[in-house]
Amino acid sequence: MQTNLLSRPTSAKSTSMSDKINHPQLCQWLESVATNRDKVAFTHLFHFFAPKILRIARGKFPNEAQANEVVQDTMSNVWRKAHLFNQDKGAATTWVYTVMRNVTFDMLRKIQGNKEDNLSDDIWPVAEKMSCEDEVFEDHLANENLLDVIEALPQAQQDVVKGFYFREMSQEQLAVHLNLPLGTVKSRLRLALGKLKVQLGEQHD
Amino acid sequence: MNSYKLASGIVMKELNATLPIFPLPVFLLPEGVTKLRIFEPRYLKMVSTATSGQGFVIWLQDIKISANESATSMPWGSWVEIINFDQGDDGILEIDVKCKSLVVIKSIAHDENNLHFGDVSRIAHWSDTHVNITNGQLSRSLANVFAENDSLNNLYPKKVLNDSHWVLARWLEILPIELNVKNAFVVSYSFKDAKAFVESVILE
Repeated sequence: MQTNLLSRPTSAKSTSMSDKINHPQLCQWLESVATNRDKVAFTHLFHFFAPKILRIARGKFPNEAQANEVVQDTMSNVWRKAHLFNQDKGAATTWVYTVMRNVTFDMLRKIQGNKEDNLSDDIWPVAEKMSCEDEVFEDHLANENLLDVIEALPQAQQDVVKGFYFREMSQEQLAVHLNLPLGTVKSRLRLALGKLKVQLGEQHD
Repeated sequence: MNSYKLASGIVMKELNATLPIFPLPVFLLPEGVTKLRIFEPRYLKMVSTATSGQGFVIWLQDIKISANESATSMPWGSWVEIINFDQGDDGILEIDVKCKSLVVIKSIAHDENNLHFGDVSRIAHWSDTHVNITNGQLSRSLANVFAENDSLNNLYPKKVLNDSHWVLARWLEILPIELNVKNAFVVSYSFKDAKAFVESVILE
């Protein structure tokens, strides 16, 4: 059934892409790296994944150096952590792209960390809880535009690890959109939420 | 089902169906579109069922909502149809889903793949009625959000910016507020409440 779905005209390219991937071969290379520190196998993995990672990273980061850093960090983590790959749990491609996401996440956190130093009047509870920790939700949400998420709160950063997607704006994005200081947007949200609670209270009385 | 007392003026409709249920932290109102990545075998199976059948239901899940569930909340979901497929750069199936209407989930069962199925009934919500009333500033501001976000923009080839319900629903979906508050825009708050809320955030 899945094959039928994917052979629709709109995803013709995807079908040919998946046809080309030799999954058992990728698994075998990862195994060789894990057990024998096999450099030839790693070279194969590098040739297979590096261009793909670079292509994705170029779409997510504004400059070439950052995109290259994603490739370097991802592939060195693949080299170091190959023993953690378990082919019973999923495809080699999925594992490597998860490694890539974690690298991306770390870079975003660095960028975000530099930024938050400048927000001294930030009294809004930034550490908003990720709404859903349940593994059921893991990674089912997608969005191409990681640049949106660079601006985001810790919650959204967690989302990045779980998949790139646009579900909602961050408070920072909203501030940029409204051309207002972040603090003003936060007070507006707080006030609006306060008013709602009052309304709800009245309805229940 | 009559036991639900809903301030938002929800009315049960007659249509009943058994549909696959997908618990996700996604708030989606009628006409809303979102992209999902599907990789778990049971949900791949669900997608194939959904394409040949009547779609599936996204059940808004959130820790806080679950905690309050016994008190004020009701199990509701967004009944969606799949409108587009693609494969991500990592080979994972990506689907775009569009919400047809909201449903109340009356009972849930599991099949052998631990996929949830629910007996659902459609419920009416202000967001599934169209009104040709333009809310100038909210519409313009939303149009700018689309213009600034390609990924969001691509999900909505047709934007109904002259429909104040459509505009308000999209704002509720994308505003940075907690999911338990968004949940309340279905179970507790009226259109007026929602409009006042969004306006006090977006407008001066």
